[in-house]
Amino acid sequence: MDKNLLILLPSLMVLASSLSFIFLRKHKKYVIVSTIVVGTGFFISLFSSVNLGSEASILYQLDWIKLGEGLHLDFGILVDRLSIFMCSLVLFISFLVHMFSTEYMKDDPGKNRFFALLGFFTFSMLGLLLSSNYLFLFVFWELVGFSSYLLIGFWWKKPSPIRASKKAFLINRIGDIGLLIALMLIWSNYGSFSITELVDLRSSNGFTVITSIGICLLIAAIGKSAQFPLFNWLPDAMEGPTPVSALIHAATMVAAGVYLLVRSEFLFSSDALTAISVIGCTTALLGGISALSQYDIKKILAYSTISQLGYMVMGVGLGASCASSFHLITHAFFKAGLFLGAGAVIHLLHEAQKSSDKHFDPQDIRNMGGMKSLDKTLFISFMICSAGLAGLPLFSGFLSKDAILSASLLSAERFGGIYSAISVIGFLTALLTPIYIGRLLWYVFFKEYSEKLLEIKDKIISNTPAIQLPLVVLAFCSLGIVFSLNPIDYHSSFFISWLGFNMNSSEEWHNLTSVLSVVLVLLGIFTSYLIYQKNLDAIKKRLKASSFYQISVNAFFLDSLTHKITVPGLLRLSSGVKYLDKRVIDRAVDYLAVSQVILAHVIALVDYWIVDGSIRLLSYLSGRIGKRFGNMQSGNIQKHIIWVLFFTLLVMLLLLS
Amino acid sequence: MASHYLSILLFTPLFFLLLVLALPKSKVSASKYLSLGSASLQVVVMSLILLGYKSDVQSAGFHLISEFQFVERVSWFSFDLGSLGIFKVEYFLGVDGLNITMLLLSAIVFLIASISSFSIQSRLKGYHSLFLLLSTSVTGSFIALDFFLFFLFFEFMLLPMYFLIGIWGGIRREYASIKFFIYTLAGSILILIVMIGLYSSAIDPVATGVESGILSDSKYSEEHIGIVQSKLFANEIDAEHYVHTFNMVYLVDPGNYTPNSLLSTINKSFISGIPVRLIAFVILFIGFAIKLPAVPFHTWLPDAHVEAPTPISVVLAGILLKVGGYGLIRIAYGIFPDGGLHFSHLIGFLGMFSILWGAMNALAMKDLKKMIAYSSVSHMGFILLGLASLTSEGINGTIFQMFSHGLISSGLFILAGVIYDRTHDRMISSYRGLAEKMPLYTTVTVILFFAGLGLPGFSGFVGELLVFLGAFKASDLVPTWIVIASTFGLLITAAFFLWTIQRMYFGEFWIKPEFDQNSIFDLTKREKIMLIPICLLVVAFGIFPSLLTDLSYNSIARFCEIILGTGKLNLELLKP
Repeated sequence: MDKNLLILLPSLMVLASSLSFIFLRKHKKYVIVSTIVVGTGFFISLFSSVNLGSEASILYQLDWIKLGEGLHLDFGILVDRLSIFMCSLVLFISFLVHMFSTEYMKDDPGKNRFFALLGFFTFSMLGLLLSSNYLFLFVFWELVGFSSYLLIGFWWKKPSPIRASKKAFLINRIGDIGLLIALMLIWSNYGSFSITELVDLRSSNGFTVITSIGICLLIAAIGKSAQFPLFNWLPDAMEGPTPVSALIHAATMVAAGVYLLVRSEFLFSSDALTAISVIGCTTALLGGISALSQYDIKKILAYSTISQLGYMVMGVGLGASCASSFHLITHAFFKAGLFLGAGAVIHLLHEAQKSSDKHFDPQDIRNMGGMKSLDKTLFISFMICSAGLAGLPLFSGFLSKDAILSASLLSAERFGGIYSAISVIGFLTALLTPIYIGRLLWYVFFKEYSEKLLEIKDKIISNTPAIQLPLVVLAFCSLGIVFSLNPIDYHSSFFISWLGFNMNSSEEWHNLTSVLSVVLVLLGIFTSYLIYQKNLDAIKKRLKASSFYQISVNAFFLDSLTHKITVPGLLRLSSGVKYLDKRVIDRAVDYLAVSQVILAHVIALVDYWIVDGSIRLLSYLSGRIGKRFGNMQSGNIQKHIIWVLFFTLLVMLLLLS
Repeated sequence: MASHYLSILLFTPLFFLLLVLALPKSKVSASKYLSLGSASLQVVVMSLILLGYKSDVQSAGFHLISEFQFVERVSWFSFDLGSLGIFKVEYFLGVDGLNITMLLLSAIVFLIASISSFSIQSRLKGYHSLFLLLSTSVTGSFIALDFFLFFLFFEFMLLPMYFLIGIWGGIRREYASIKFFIYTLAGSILILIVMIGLYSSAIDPVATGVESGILSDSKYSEEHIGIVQSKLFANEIDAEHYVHTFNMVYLVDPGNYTPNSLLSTINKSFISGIPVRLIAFVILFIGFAIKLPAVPFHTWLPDAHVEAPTPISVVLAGILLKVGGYGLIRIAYGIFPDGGLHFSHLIGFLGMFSILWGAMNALAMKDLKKMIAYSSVSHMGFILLGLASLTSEGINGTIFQMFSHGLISSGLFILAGVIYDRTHDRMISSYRGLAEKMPLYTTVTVILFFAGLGLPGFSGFVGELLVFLGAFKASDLVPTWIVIASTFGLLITAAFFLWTIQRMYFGEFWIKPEFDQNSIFDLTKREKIMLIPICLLVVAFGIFPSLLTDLSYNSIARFCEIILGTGKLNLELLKP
């Protein structure tokens, strides 16, 4: 019991500290306390994971809704090494982000609200990871999206964050609908949402059902993990505060889609797997290409995140969900590090701008340069995290990317066809990664000072420990040695064996992958060096003039598809529906009423002229007849006798004939 | 145990109505406290009922009088029609899982509405008299188990509503109130037609048994009814001994229909080739669908809502619409299960159509209150969808959705009222960035909007989830594509709610320059008293839905079992 409590304690603590905001809206110590709570939560979670056996166990199975005999929806907590490790990861990064934010948000009047929302997000994420069934996974999945909505729109007075938050929620909702349909399919076919029960049940049903469930889960992941074709909400989500981008839109929430796929691995048919890997590799490539030409430092990182998430999804599709989880974890560290680093850069510029009263966009990399000498800690940690992202040997990204890429080679060998193309695209993306991150590094750190930066250079003061410490920690976690004693071979990773994964790739493919990716990374860095450091203007101009550049800058025009076709189409449809409602349905009712009134008038006319008219005619006629025959009784005795005789004769004639 | 809780519940408002009428002119302002007192007393009585309520299988009710709870049953009036049998109406009240939650909702909504009524300033005496009358008739239509009694209460809702909208309403109140009155009256007439048909077709087996000498006393028992029913089936009872009944529990059992009657399952009566029972179902369905309202019978609703004063909108959306849903469940489906099965595709389709049509309309609305009204139409579509599925999930979802929508829409209409009270303008485009001046109002709005769009953790989610699970499971009754198409309603609903938040509440503060800039202030104490409990309830039922479903799931399981069984059997019998 106490052990169970220990696993749940962090989420309950975080929830409590988040909800206490209702009473502590203005309290000065709220920020510090909630940071400490998350930190403590991390240590508790770490402690409980150390003692955990390798078997999955279910804690707390409760009836949530009872619907009859044997028919109930449950709430349950599933604990295995993967979920508890993910919990520790989320708490760890959340803690660092909290710490970072104490400095980053210190002047914001709504900082208590910010920390409460961060706490609520962390709680929802923990709930998502610990849910033992798809129903509650969905519940927390939605709550995570809700907290993301509120955090992207944290600065609600500005129009762009609000627009971005709405967009993020709505596009996510498409994915949510996918997950909901998956839930309905699972419920109607198996009558249970429990992940552990479904493992045994899945074979009892046909191929189409399994494939449909797989496709619906994929749609869910496409929404939440920003996959093609729904990825364009993620770059917009960068309108939120940078710590939020680091926590939610890089390390944790966007990985929830991947987590869902990893958890549901047993449910996928071969068709579904192919669809997953195609979507994944497309996203990886498109994200990588789009990252090449952005100027907003956060947008570059956002597209890079999309690309890396594509890798993870692709890995699941290739049957290497262990590799995907591994990449998810390494990516969480180095990408959170990069985002917090970007936040630190922005913070430096922002603070300097405030003290010098000069204003320019602190997120535009063209306004930076030469920052390597301004903040050494920032520079070094950023470099290490970038190396992790680029996949340089000895860094964490190399190991995990290697795992996915060798799985792709293995699949290409086994199935050929489309899997060969997927593999090629995987390697191509590995080439793109060092190019775009090299470009970013050159613009931010190596280039000479930009004119705008030069003006405020003297005002820049190094960041405080609250900002530097998380950067250093995350940079450390991006080293390969942290995950594997042999930092160029993921097979020897103690980490993977602890999680109970078995990497089923062959030795030769792995060696080829290592060599290939090293070559590609070096090639990428070299290209980047040539274009930017050597400043080959001719190439640059050629590139800029090409349509490739347009495609890259506009991220394959998916955004304009949304804004120029889908949204106006929907609005036009809705006003059409409104027109029909008003002019057809309601008008029909009105006309029915009017026709009733007309009918009533017609009936009134009929009543007056025909029904009543015939009565009046009758009375008129009888009056006239009475008048006419009244003359007969005029009192003239002779006339009387004549009439009496006439009628007597008439009667006699009638009687006789 | 003879408890009179239901009668007390029913007559409390009438008693307070007398007090209101007796108020001297100088004390007229006290009438609002009397309304509040009546509603609070109803909540207290309702809590007592809940305390004594049993939710086990033995008290599932629905088709057995002995399994109803808090039953009060006396003969109201009856007279001998000679060779046509005996006409009998009962004062018959009772509670089972199908109406207990609705009764609870009615108590909550009337309490909220009575607080909201404090804002009414003119003709207090008239207003509160009508309000109390409305309260009685709504309560009555939920607990009446005699069709005649039900119809009486059902009809009596129209009168106070007509005046409440027509006198205390907005600018186009005359149009709206008369449209409401005539439209829903048309629905009532449809119900009346079927009611007369039912009355002429069905008998009270116990009373008939006594009347014809088969039974010696009127002690109720299962086997006695069986004897009477078999004699009835064999045509051994003279028509003059028939005791015709409006008792809805008896009407459920096809064995109680006289063999030669119009609505009997064994007498094959057709109108142009369609069994009369199916036609009767359609007529009844339309009658209740107008009240619900389902598209295309919904256009009275936006007008009525926009013109009605806030408390009346709260009552209208919160509880009045649910009478339609409740009537569909207990009367249309309960009495004509064959129709429910036969038309399930169509009903499911209407549900989907309402969901999408309502949501699309809401997206196009520029008036906040109209948008909320159309969102109601959309949410009521779920009721039809869940009902069509005839699964435990679907019907539980239907009832939960009715309850949850009652709370959420009450809250939403109060929110619309809050802003209207300040500026007398409901246009979304007249405001921007309200969050700056009205932070609490904005928080409550965000909570209720997200509850409305079905975010987990709020009660709206549970209802929609259960309806979807049920409808999808019943693929033989509701085609899968209908359910999948309905899910897009979730997207559109999210779109119009979020768009409204973006336009009205966030951004730099701005209101139309012609408004008094000082008129914008945050929630008053009275508004908080209404809104905060609603939010808490919506969250509580969202996290612990079993608080509600435990009251009714046994009845619902029984309902589904009987409706499916009897429905299939009847459809077989009705085949030409």
